[in-house]
Amino acid sequence: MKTYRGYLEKYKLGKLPFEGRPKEYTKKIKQVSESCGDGLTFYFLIENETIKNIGFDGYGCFLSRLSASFLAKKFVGKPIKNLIEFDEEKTLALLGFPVNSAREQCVLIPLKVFRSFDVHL
Amino acid sequence: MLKKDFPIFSAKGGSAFGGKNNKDLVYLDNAATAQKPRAVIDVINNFYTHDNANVHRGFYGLGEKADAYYEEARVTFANFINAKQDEIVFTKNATEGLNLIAHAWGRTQCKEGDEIIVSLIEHHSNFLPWQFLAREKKLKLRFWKPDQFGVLHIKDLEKLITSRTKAICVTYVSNVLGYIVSVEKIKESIGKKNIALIVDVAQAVPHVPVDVQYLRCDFLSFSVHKMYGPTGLGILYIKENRLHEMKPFLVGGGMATEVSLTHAKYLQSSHVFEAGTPPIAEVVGGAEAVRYITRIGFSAIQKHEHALVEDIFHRFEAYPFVRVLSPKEGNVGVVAFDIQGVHPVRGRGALRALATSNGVHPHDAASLFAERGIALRAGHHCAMPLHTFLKIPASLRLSLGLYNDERDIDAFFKALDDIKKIFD
Repeated sequence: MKTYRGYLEKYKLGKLPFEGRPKEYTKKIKQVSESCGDGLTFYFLIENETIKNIGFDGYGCFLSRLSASFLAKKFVGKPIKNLIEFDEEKTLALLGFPVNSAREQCVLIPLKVFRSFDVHL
Repeated sequence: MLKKDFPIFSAKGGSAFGGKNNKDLVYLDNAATAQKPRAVIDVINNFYTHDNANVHRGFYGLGEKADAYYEEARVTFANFINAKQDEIVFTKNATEGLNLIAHAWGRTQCKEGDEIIVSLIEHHSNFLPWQFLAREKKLKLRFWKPDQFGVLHIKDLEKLITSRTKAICVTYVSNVLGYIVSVEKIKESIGKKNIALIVDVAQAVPHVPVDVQYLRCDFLSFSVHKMYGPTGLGILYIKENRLHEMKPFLVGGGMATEVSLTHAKYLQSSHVFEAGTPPIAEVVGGAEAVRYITRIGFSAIQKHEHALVEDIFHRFEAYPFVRVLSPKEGNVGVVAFDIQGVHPVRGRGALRALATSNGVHPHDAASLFAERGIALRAGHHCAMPLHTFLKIPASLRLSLGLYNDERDIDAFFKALDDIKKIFD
């Protein structure tokens, strides 16, 4: 199942885990990709420097949404610090299957949100 | 049949498609760039092997030969678009040619309050130079809007022309929707007003004859790499009676007649726009691309591509989840579409699909096509104003070249069937 096609077959055109705007959130950050114009918005519920919940929505390709979903799963319940320090290499590895260089930027769109996190705090 | 003329289709171990041989390559991204016939590759190879020298400088045999090839190529391109030799300027690409007009003509001729009409279907290369100029010189940009399907109509242009209009900037063929704009009718709308007609023919030159006398344009620009020639070369046509309205663009070698410490005199011909060493081998190779196209002939090219276009539009009808954005009428072989969801547009499935994710994102679809050896393009195709107008963030685009055949179209639809299965 750990292939691009495998995930597409699983989720088809439906929502991914953590996709959708949660009822409760304390921080909202939108990121528009400079290269393709797609935009994802992240919603964070933060209490005592810890991420209690993450949700996201917007218009993005499957790879950017899948990456967002995996990252959300990874960081819910963790300190914000972990999320801010996460890097490109780890994000690509988290996906679990290789993508060609042109699509790497899709996978990394959510990371840009995390990078701007401290600025928004 | 023509694929045999293009070495890329028989190259062994092609790297682009997971190590498969390139015979499996289904290249449907010709609007981005076309493949090169052996004739063009050989001419470039021969030039560097036997005749390489700089132009306009060498008092020796090689230099004279390079000069002769270079100027013969200018005649070849002039004949190709029915212009005069001195009306042809070699540039880097279509974009540079359009920027050159905005800079060398626009900045000289337009003053605050003047108006420039730009169509909303333009590639950014015939949009941004005018937006940039308008902001700098405080000009008013007026937008020639298409109908709801993205099609431009001359009657909508006529309403925009005023006594302050200085230029009309429009493409001959849309790089997204692939249809031909009736540019030849624009001069009638202009009448006797002194309005420059500036035409981007980058997407037209591989598919239809381009004739500056027929189009009655003042400036025209295209890239040679889309018409089976090398990259790094563009052609700019400047109508001879516009030349005196222009100032130099780049200044440097080969375009000045006298240079003192404080002043310079510049060439009075269109050669003034070819500062520095030009792309000589590309010019020589580009002329061979013209000869290649001319040998096949536009009537044969149009007949072949038209038959494929008919077939593509017909076959798309069996895919209700595909929304074809391009009009069939006047289409040269550039077809934009998106995948709305794999269930029929009417019905619960489709409604659910649309409600959740707006169908298959073009980037994902293009990756899935690529896995099957099919090269096509996804994105906004450097035409964001058009996509915004059509209210779509991105689209898929297949674009034909003269070497594409029924087998390519079969492969495309087979891949589309396969992609459908993923989402069924």
